[in-house]
Amino acid sequence: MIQEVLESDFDSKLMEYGLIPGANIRVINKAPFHGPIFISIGSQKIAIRKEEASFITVK
Amino acid sequence: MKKLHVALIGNPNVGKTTLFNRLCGVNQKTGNYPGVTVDKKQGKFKHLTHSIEITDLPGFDSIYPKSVDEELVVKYLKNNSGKNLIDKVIFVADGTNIKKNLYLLSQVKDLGYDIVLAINLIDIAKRKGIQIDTNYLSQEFGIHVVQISARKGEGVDELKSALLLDSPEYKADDLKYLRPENHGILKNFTEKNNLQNVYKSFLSITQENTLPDVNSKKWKTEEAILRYQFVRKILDKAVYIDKSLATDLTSKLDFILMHKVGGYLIFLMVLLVIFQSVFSLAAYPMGWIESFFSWLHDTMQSGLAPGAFTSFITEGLIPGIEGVVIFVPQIVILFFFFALLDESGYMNRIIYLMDRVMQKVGMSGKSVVPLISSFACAVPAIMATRTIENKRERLITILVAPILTCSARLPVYTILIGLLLPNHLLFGFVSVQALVLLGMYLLGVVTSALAAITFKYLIKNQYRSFFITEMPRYLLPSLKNVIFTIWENTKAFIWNAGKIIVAASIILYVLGTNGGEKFKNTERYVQAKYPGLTQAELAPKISSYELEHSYLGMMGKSIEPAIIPLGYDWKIGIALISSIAAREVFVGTMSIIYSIDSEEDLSIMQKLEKETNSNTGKPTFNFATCISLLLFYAFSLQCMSTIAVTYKETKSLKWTSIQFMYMTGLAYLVSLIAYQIIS
Repeated sequence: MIQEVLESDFDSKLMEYGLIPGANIRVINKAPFHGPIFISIGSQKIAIRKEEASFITVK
Repeated sequence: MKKLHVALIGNPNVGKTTLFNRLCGVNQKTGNYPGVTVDKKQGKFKHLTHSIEITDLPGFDSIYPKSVDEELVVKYLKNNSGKNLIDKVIFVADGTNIKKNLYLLSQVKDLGYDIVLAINLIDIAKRKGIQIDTNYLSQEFGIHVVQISARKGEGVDELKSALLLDSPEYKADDLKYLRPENHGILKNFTEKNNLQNVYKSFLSITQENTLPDVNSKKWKTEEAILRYQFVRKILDKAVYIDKSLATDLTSKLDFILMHKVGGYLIFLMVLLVIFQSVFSLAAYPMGWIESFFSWLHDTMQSGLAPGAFTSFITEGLIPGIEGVVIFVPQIVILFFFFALLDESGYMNRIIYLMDRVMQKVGMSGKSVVPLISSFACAVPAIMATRTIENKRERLITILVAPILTCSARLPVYTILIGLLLPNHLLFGFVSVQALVLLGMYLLGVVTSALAAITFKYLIKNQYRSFFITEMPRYLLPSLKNVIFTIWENTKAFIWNAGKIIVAASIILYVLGTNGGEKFKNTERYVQAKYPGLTQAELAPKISSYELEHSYLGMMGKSIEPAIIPLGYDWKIGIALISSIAAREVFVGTMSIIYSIDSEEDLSIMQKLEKETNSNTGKPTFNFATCISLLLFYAFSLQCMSTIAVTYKETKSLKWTSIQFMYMTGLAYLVSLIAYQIIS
């Protein structure tokens, strides 16, 4: 579950994709060489780079 | 008959285009929005008492734009005025994943639009066990809601009728996107500036910082949270998913297609299939096109009265048009595959797999698709960069795309490699010429990567590059959409590249057939020079003299001092100048220049082999010159269409000239070094 989305230039973007506090997420796949990660949130699936993902804290 | 202007909007990949085609059929036209290069699609249809005009806007994800397309839609929606006033909006949503659509829907609704929500893909949603309470949605948003399947045509008539109805009563739930303590600020601002719509003034504050005292970023963040909570509350009641019914083919496919090793192997195989088809499959229609044009050329030549006009048609116009049409088979095949990949949802997986690698060279996973198209032609490649949101990544992709070996270089390479070495077989089966050709392709790939890295350090990043992309579920591509994509892109290529290639061919023809005093009195000069030759013996000397003293010949001679260090003479200079129109023109020009010199009917290869350099007296096409020319053609930007499309897409004279100069400079430098070392 997402605990907090830290403030950044793109935080509103993250939230538009449903990455908001309280949402349940699951990492399905990671691209090799520290590439993006593939997560499912609700019924939708999104890909996001690690750099952006590091602004999301989960518990 | 009453008129109604309807805008068709929605997130990307929800089947908007399918619905548009379903509604308008062939009654559509494509135009351009002023100032930007996004296609404006409009169509018409009649329903009952109304004539309905539809504008299909590009898909967008958010009212906060992050790409050119999105910016356009948002501007269009924010400044709804003038003669194109929108009466109604059809908001297309994806029935299998309506959550994100409703977020955008609530934003558009707040802009004050009269909306009909079309929930598409309802057949697939039902198969997945998703049920949507349309009455509840209708009540909560104050809009009409219709469930459709654009692919099958279900619910489309119902949608048409809903457009003619008045919107249901809406219990105004204003300002749900702002914390109550800030409501006063926003309302005051709206009144003071005499704005019609509160959300528009909210966007003016958050997007343009028109109210400096407000922490606009915080407002934006809070909007996202509040809006999501609002949407989720509605979703919880409106959407029911029966998990037991859901078949999860997508997850299974993703496990294979996005596998750490397998995923890349499959992508490599897909690439191979595409390349194989682009080159070997396209060879057949390209051969037919060639024979057709040579037939046309011969027919015209024998059918029309000889003279300036006929020669203009046969030597200027026909080869010009052929130069464009010859690429159509490759473009069609390329876009056939791209449409398949895109429609099926696999394209997003490629983007995901390649993002990290591409980031290392300053680009994005989304650069992969344009770069693949570059192997056929840089023009559609540069047009395809529009999907890259980050400006720097997009610019770098545009700048390096033309270095990759496009198919216009192939005929040039083939001739030069043929002159360079005989076709030996290594180990009995590997053709040496093919190896060199492969080397030229690799050279293009490596150089473009190096150039991209260089630009990565030179170009300052204005915006932080971020990468979030939705992974749509896999779908069976619809034939209609595939054909439509191919048609749209081929049309764009013919129009964009075509007009320039044809125009340049005509200009070159005129330059080559006109000249100054010496050109006009060629016959006298040649007769004086070679007294005692018969008329037949004089003819080739005359044509050669004519070309040398035509404007084109003068241009070739004037650049000779610059190209002698590369191992070229003025005749190659003419070919270099002519191939500014398009690279493959090199071959044609060479055959024209040399056909007039030789009396026997030789193939172009034999003619070139016999040719001696007027400066050195050695064979013109010696080893060093061939290498130097190969390298020159590998790097230089001899393609007016690319230059034009780069300007059109970047809208910047600066970057267009940088692209031209860095490529041509690189070509000159590398050829110079190579020639000087080898010779």
